[in-house]
Amino acid sequence: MVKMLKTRALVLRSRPLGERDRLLSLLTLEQGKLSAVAPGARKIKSKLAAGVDYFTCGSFLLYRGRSLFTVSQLEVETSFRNIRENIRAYAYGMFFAELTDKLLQEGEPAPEIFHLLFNCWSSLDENKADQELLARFFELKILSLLGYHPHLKGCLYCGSTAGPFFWSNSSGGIFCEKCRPGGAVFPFAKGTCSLADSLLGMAPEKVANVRASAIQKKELKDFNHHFLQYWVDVTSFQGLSFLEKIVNVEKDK
Amino acid sequence: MLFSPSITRLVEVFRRLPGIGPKTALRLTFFVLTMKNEEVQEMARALVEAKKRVRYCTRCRNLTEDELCPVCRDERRDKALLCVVQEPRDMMVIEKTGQFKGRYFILHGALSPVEGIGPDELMIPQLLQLIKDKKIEEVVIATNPNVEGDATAYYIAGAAKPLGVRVTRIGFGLPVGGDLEYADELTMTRALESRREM
Ligand SMILES: [Zn+2]
Ligand SMILES: [Zn+2]
Repeated sequence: MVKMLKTRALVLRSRPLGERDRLLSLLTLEQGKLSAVAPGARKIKSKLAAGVDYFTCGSFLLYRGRSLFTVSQLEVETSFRNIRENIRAYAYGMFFAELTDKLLQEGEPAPEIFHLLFNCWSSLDENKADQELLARFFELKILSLLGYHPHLKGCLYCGSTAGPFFWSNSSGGIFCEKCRPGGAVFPFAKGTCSLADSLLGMAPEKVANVRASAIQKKELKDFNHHFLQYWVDVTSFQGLSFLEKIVNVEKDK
Repeated sequence: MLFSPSITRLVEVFRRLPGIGPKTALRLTFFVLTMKNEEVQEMARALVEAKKRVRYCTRCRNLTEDELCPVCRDERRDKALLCVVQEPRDMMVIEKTGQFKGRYFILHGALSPVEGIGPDELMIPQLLQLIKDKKIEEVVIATNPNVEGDATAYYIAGAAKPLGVRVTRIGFGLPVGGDLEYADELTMTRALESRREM
């Protein structure tokens, strides 16, 4: 087995390990998700400190140990500095990382997801797109890339494109009113359904051009989380409840 | 089972402490067993007493045994200057420099979506009330120079500036990343001197 791995990676999670070190969850371009120790990174003068934080994209030189990787060198490519200046961008960016960390298995290469996360962090950093729509885009894309691509182009049974539709988690698609099976309980307005479908086919930089009403955004969020919940326990996502808190605080102002 | 139930239990108790792995926990357990009776009893009493007596200062959330901590009681302190830190340890690092004459507010953490720590958990509403009530003129933010510390600093700055207060952040000499508690006195002094407007 190769002992050294040189790879581009995004930091998905970073937490203190003992007095000196940090334990990282990295999304590497070559090898997918893996855990690595950054020795001494908690020290203020550590050479590694600047690159083991959330929102880092860097070139990492990793040494494979018995159970974990150890970061031996790293060079920061970008650290998306604007994200941390805006509490909502920060919360969304952390949510993207948390979702990626929870959905991916260790050691399965996922280069498309690497690029998806990189592009969505860049978009938050440049503050061009509607953050809520960017989050919905991210959720749909990551599920699709993991093989849970939702079928949203008309009724799964008869092909009818007239709404309203009913979503079925077990079928992974929509049905019209007539063909609707027992399990397909989640109602889906036609406009929201095509919004979700167009997000699925979109390049990340195009999300900035998308506009949607507050009602559509709410419906899309409910749909996404209903769909996500089928695969992963969304209610356990700290990032989401944090977002709710922040959004509520801002409404109160 | 390799060890008696009492030993196993003590090992498990030590393992709950931060930074203590199974090996260290076992070493500590064996050490405790070689200590004198009185020493062990004193240790147990110190734990219970500290837990019973120590609480948060009602003004700055520093750890204290009284209503107000010694810093808040000290009338010679500059009442218009307030330094916001993440942990009591960070306050100690700043106190050691002898350069800071104001008072503190201790957040006991940083905004962290993954840990579920929001503004309310950090008592940021209480901090804003303190700024208003005590007519603070400058808030010096000394959170850690990492993502969570930065996000916390920007959030507080955004909420405090509308109150008409000057908000600064300690800076120069502190590299990006790392934890403030490990900064030496010289680095910290320079960082305090070169704080910049937020
Ligand atoms: Zn149909
Ligand atoms: Zn106090």
